[in-house]
Amino acid sequence: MVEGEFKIVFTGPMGAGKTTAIAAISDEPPVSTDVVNNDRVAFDKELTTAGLDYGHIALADGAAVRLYGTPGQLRFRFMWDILGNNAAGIILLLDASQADALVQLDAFVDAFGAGKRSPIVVGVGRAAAAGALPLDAFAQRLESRGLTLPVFGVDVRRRDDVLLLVDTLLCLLELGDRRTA
Amino acid sequence: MRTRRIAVAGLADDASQAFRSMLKILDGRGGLSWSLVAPEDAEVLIAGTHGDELVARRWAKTDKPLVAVYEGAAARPMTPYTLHHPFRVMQLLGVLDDIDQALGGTAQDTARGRSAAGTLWTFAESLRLLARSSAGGNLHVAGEGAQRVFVRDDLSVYHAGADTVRRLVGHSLELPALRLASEGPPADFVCRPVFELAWFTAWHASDALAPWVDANALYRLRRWPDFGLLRGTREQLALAALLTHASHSRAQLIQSSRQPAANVDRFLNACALAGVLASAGEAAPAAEPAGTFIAASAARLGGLIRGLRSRLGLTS
Repeated sequence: MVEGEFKIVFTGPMGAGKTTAIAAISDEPPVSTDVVNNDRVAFDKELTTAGLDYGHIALADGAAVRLYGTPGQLRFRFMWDILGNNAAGIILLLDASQADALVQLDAFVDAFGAGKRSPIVVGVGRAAAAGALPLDAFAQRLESRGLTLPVFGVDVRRRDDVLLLVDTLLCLLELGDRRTA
Repeated sequence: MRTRRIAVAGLADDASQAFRSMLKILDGRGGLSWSLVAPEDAEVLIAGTHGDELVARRWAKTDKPLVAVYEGAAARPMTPYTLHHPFRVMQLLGVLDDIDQALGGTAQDTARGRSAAGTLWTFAESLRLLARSSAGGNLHVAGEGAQRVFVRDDLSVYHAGADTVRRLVGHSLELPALRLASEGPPADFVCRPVFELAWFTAWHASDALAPWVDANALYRLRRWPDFGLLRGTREQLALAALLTHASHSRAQLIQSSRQPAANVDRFLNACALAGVLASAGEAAPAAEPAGTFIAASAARLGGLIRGLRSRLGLTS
């Protein structure tokens, strides 16, 4: 991590709520590089993030926490590496109602170092939707790989849920900080 | 060499064959031999959700330790000893070692359990017993009238009145033991995940360790509790983070977390009853090493973390 930089990356597939989550805690509405979604088969929404979302939180001592949202589509995979570089932590958002949600879990967890480089907290939305995968399936998938990452059912339209993800990330960071100080 | 007796009491064919083959591999390792016997003669049972229901049902109410085998994306049974099929020989060895240790302390544990059974832990103990049973699609019930709590025996959901759910989350319900229900829940009862019932039942029951939690054992988290559902506190998040990084005994957890013993005991009780706690003897379930990150460059973040928490209103 670069001295003085504190970066939290929100990642996950298209439509999982990354932009919404950043907007919930950013001081100002996130700067988004949305384009018209030309993949309406994969996800039916008008706009999607092609480059990145950016938000920030100013701290009292003049420092700032930078919030980045990655593009969700696999073809923008190169952006994940760029944005994930030197991240303090990763918040992975998934949509339990998407049929390939477990494949996405694996793909994003692996892309961001499986929690070894920086802590990953997983927020799963729409778990109560008809036909959605149960939250337990996500935890089971990680457990079968020997990964003990936090997996919470969340609705990122609720600020408290986004704060829970951030606070969990901070608890994991704090522990690492205490051990390496 | 010591010998323990184990029986298959309902297990799918492929899991049963794998288990029998692994028993041969394990035979004699670590000074302990496991012999395959009939369920009547066994000290330990192994059963699965896709096994022979007739056989499994007969042994559903046994007090013998039961290894529950589950498959695919099925919910992990809320029992202390589980294996996800296909499992590896080292995973089986870890579970059997845990059971062997538990059986070694049977007399003491039984005494502790009996003294608590009539008071604080009655309902929790019955929930644990239900977790050892094979699911038959039945409902079990505790309590009377509007205060009743119905639990499905596959431990997926429970049904209760909205007021009962509020009291469960807020403080102890002090329910009697579960019994087989003769009728279904009223239409106005809400349906909630059993994980929630197990967590809050154990959390509120006592600020001392539950009879089934060993104060000297090393524990780690098998998986994180769903704090999105439970609305976890900062203290609970911190304890979960500690048990993610490494195995801890109760005393180590108190020391590392700098939290009161009562907090730690409640947390261990809740994790144990909710089925997310593993003893350190249990083998890691996969090739990748357990644990999360090592924050090699994350030192001295304390000021930033405190500043961010303060800015977001994340007070403890």
